[in-house]
Order: sequence, then structure tokens, then C-alpha cells
Amino acid sequence: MSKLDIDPNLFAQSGLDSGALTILGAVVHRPGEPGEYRGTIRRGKDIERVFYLSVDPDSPVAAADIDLARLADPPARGDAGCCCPTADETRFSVNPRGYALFRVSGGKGGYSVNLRRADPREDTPVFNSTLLDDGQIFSARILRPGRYRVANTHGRARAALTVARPPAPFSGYRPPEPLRVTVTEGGFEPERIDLHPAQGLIFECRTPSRIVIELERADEGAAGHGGQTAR
Amino acid sequence: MSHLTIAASENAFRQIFTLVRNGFTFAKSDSATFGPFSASYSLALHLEKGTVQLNNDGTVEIKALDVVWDTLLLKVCFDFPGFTIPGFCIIPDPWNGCLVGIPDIHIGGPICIPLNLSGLVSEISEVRARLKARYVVDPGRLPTWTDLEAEFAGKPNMWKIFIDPEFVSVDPIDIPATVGNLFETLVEQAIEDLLPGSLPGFAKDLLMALLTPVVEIVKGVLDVFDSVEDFIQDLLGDKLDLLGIIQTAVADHFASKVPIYEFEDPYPILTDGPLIPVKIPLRNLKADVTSQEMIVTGDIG
Amino acid sequence: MAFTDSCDLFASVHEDGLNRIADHIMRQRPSWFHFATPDVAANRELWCQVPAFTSDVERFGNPVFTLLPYLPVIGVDAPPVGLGFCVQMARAQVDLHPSSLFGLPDELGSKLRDQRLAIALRVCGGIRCPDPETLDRIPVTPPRDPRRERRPEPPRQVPVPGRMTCFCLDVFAVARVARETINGVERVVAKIDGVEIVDVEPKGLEAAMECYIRTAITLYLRQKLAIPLRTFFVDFPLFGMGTVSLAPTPNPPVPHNPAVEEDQLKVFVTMTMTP
Repeated sequence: MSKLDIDPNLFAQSGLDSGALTILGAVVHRPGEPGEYRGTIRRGKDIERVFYLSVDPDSPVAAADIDLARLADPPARGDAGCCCPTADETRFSVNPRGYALFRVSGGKGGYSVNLRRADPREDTPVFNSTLLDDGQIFSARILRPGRYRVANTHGRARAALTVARPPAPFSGYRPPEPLRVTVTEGGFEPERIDLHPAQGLIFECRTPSRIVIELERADEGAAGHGGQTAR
Repeated sequence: MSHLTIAASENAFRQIFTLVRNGFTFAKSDSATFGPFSASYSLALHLEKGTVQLNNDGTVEIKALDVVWDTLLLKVCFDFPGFTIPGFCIIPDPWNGCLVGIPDIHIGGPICIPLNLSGLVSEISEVRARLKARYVVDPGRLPTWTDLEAEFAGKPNMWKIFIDPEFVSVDPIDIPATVGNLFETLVEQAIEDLLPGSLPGFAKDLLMALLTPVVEIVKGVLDVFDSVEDFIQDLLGDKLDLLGIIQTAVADHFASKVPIYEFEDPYPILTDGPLIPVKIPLRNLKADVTSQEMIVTGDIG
Repeated sequence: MAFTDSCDLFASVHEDGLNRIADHIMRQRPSWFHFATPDVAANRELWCQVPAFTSDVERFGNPVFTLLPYLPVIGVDAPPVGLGFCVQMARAQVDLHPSSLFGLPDELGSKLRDQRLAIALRVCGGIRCPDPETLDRIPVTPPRDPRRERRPEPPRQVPVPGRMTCFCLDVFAVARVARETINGVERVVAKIDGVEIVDVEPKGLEAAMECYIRTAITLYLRQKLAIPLRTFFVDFPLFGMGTVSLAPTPNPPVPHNPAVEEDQLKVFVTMTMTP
């Protein structure tokens, strides 16, 4: 019998970075101002793909779901193996009172998003996911049990995070509701974060932020399946 | 009055029935898809036991005939809906659920559960039949041949008397509860086997923890309302129609494949020596039963 | 009453069926019922009866007549002379107790006794009768000198032509049936109790002919028409089945096995399970 085809990045990436989004991280931005926006998806300094977001008062869309992995590294299509998204696939629409969700559905990730007005006279950056502020959100999902260090790299804020071990097999485990953390100039609130595995963690950034979560020590447990140690 | 009468007591008839019953073997393989799952099987079976009663209304009643499944290999395959790492809501919608949320991550794949049910015994509760005499002309016989030439060519005409079932009642295949338990264990094993060996231990632990008890998985995927053994019983008997297949095979066997009595026509009575055999044509063959015996009558043509 | 009240297998043949079987045998094995010297067999005009036979007889090269040596003329050896002749069965009929198909001569009791069967035969025969001129043309062989020929070869028999003179006899026989193992096979065979030839005089000649015919029929029935017991059951599947053994039902419970009654020939077999 064949084995499951599981994206290796799902379990290989222990840490998260709001400025380099991976499969377990996402950023939420509220566009606010109507207009045509041009977005760039970057991995490091390289632009991987350009997309357009129309912030339109007539748009019925409350939440534009923008999958960075699908745009930057789309699956092969047809016999020609063409990988490029169509024009329609690179255009998004959202109501000014709605939200844009930037997430990564698979692959290695490491993306950041830069969003600015498409009008050439108005080229001031309006959103950069490497610098969250004004209530923008970074959400994370941490699967591996252990102890983590959380930091806002635009300041000195630090927090301690632990992820518990999952219960027994076939127990029908469902993670609790996500935990919300506020990031302010003064630091993280709360500063001690206790999570269950796969439980959502939502950072609301009220100060310039780039949230980085790093594994300090993995919890292998007494009867684990031989998980990897932290690096 | 008939020229020829041959009678066999009920006891003798039972012996002939034993011969015919023992001649029954059946094997088949097939597969089918039923919406969320597919199943394939390979079977071989024979018949044992059975009581025979002759009735004055001309019927033969066979009861409690055992179906012995020498081979019954069943494989159930389904798309395991899998491991779901649940998403969560980031920005709730005050009016309707969630405005912005992280979607679930689904990991699934096909799994197959091989189940060896060989050795099971089920029952044909009743066969009600009448005797039927049939005249069979060998299809390979040339029209110009005399009876003697047909005999020498190995293609003589035959009289055959069959137990011709009017109905065959096959009981459901009773699946013991242990098979249900075994099935669940095999599903557990198959799910574990689905996970790649390279997966870290914590990932396996998490994924397995996310699963509901296997019986619920099975019930959900396979649309099982009762016990797993009831599901297997229904799958074999109804969905894969093994009961119907047995019914047809047994009816065919008795009605047209293995006669209880057969002989050449014309029938050779003097065969010794260098001369051609003396063959006697038999006509108007009839077979019937009373509560005491089987009676075959015929005329000399 | 069931056929198998006292046995496990029962078979019966009605006398009408037996007579049809007799007819089939005569038509498929004509040489068992027609005998002639070569000259008569080869000359259809000399036959006393035209045999009826199936097309298979000739298709498979079976003879119509059994060939016999010429009838020697008594006292004639220089050369020996033989006469052509034929003996043919024109009709055969069987009547099983009680009498229903034909009556019997008084000498045989006119009606069948219990467990008896009657056979009515019409036998025709003839001898070629040479005319005197033909006999005169046969040269007389000179006597041999035993001093010159140590082992003189006997002179060859001279068949002489002549007109066929046919006659027919009506022969009645009464018989019973018995089981007899012949060549290791249990068979049903008819045993002749008495023979009567109708209208033959004088009594001595009649008695001598009856003796000859009784001898012939008795031996003929044992050699040619002793039917294996299992043949009556037309290959019934229990014969040859390893788990049962079959044997004629003894007395008691069956007083006559085979039985001749109700115009039928009946046989009864009992089955025992082989351990």
C-alpha cells in the first residue's frame, strides 16, 4: 500500500517568522483605503511574483484569501507543464472594510509581501509583511511539542512559549480555540504562552513588529516515535 | 404401463445426492465500487452436509446444506479521509461564524484492508426442487451420423435427470464479532502504515491523536450504521451479492451441470465380442419422487 | 406399496418392452439368429426368410448370417458330399406370467405357472435338394492305396447345388429366470423348463428335435443373452460408487429375485454402506 504524500515542510519547520511566511504562518492586513494595489511576493530580496488587489467599496469580498505558495510556486498544469498563474489568478478583490489573508498552503515558503498603490504617482508602500503594525495580525500554528522563544525583532520584547504533547492515538483530539497575544511597545501580552499542539496563536501587532518563534528544546516524551532534537 | 421402471429408495437417493453435492465446487473473483469505498473478493467453496426429504407432491427438499468457504479473501479499500490539522478563526464575523480564518490541513489517502475469512461456514437453509429428465443432443454430433457412429465418436445423445430447484434459500453469511474486531485492528494498522517512515515521531503522535476511534472512522467512511461485522455481512451478502451468486451457482449445479442420473441413448445392453453393440432406444423418460422413493420410468423405442 | 419397500434399488421390464428389446437384438445382431452354409448365405434366393437388420450392420461390416459347414451326406466319402442349408429365426416373442400374449400347447400346461415365462419362436429352415442328374455328375474318387501314401489327405467335400426346400416350425418354451455368475459377472439368465414343437410326427422325432432345440436354447441363452444385473438399472449411479456396495436382495424379504410376475421381469438390489 502506498504511503501518504505529506508535505515534508509541514513537520520539518519548527520555527516561524512573520517576515518569512511558511506553511504554518499567515498574516492578515486590512487594506482600508480603496484603490488598485500592486503586490509583490518576495523570498528574501527576490521578487517571486506580482499580483493585484483591488480594494473596492462595491466588492462583496470580506476576506481575500491570497495563497502565496500558489502564486509564487504554482503546481504544474496540463501537458505543457505551464506553471504560470493566469491573469485572473493574480487578481484579487476585497471590500475596504474587509481583510487580506496572506498565507502559504505548502512548500518551503519563506515569503514576504509588499503591497503598494498601483498608481505610479502614489508609490508609497502601504503594507510590508516584514513590518507589522496598526493592528495587523500574524497567526502561527505550532505542531511540535517543546519549549520555544518568541521575539519581536523590531524591539526587545520576548515571550516564553511551550507546546504540550498530544494525547493518545485515536483520541479524537481537537486543539482548543486559538490564543491571542497583543504585541505592544511594552512587549507581549501575555508573556508566557502555553499551547496545545496545533493550537492557533494570533499576534495582534500594535507596534512595529516582526515576530520570530524559535524552538529552544523539543519535548520528545517518554514513548515518542524518535522525533528530532532541536537545533 | 411403462416398459421400464427403476426405483431408488429414499436412502439410496440420499447417496446419489451426496455424489452430486460433493461434485459442487465454485470459485470466483470480482470487485466493485460502492461510492466511498471499493471491495474485491476471491472465493472458493464447496458444499457439505444437508438433509434430504422426498415428498408425495413430487418435491425434493434439501435443508441445512453447509457452504464451506475454503477461500474467502475480502479486500476493502477506501479513501481514508484522514488526518486533519484543524484551522482556526483569526477574525470572527459577529454575524456569521468566521470572517478570516486559517483553513484545515487535510492529509488523506487510499487504504486497503485485506480480510481473510477462509474457513467460514454458512448455510443454504432450503432447496426445494423437482426431478427433471432432459434429453441432451451433443452439439458436436453431425446430422448424418447414426447413433452408433455418434457413440464411436464419443458424442452420444444422453438422458440426464437433474434435481431442478424451484427455489434456493441462502442464509446470510454470519460474520463473528471477532472478525469485526480484527477488521478494526487492521484499519488501525493500515492507518499507521500510511504514515511515511521518515515522519518525525511528534508528527505521528499528533496525527494519530487527531483521529477519532477507529470504529467511528470506519463507520463514517463506510456508511456503517451497526457493527462492523454487520457491515461485512451486508457487504458480502448484499452489496457484492455473494448470496445471489451462491444461489445461482447452486441452482445451476443441480439443475443443469451435474445430473443425479445419466445414460446414453440408445443405451448399449450387449457390448461384448467383435460385433457392434446392441443399443436400445429409450423414450418418454420421466422422473418423479414419492415420500418413499425416486421413480424413473421410460419406454423402449 | 412402494417399489423399494424391501430393497434399495428396483428395476422392472414389462414384457412389451422385452419383446421390443428382442426385436432390436435381432435387427442389430442378425447373425445370432440366421445360420447358413456359405452358398446359401451368399444367395438371397435361397433364404427361407429375409432377415431384417439395421443399416449399421452392413456399415460396420457385421455378418447377416453365421456361416456353418455343409450338411454331410451320410456314408459318402469318395468324395464326401455336403448339402447347403439354413436355419433362421423368423419370430421370437416372450410372455411373462401371467399368460397374456399367446397360449401354450397342452404339453406345456397351456397357461404359465407362477414365476415362469414363455417363449414363442418361429424357426424356419431348409436344405438344398440336388436333382439326380447333379448327383450323377459327381465323379467317384478312386480308392487310395495306403501302402503308397503314408498319410493320405482326405478328399475335399463337394457341395452340391439344388433347390431350397424350406419349412417352418413353431416352437414354444417355458422358462424361469435365475441369477448366475458367468465370467465373474452376476447376470440374469433364463433357464428352460420345457420345449414343445407343434405338429411334428412321429413322437420320437419330435422328442429328439425338442431335445436338440432345448439344448440349443439353453446354451444360447447362457452364452449370448445372460444380461448383467446392473444393465437392468441402466448405469444407475450407485453402481461403482465406492462408499456403497450393492447386492441382490435375499429371500427374505424378497422371495423371488429376479421375479417374473405381473407381466414384468423384476430385480431387487439392497445397498449397504461401505465403512
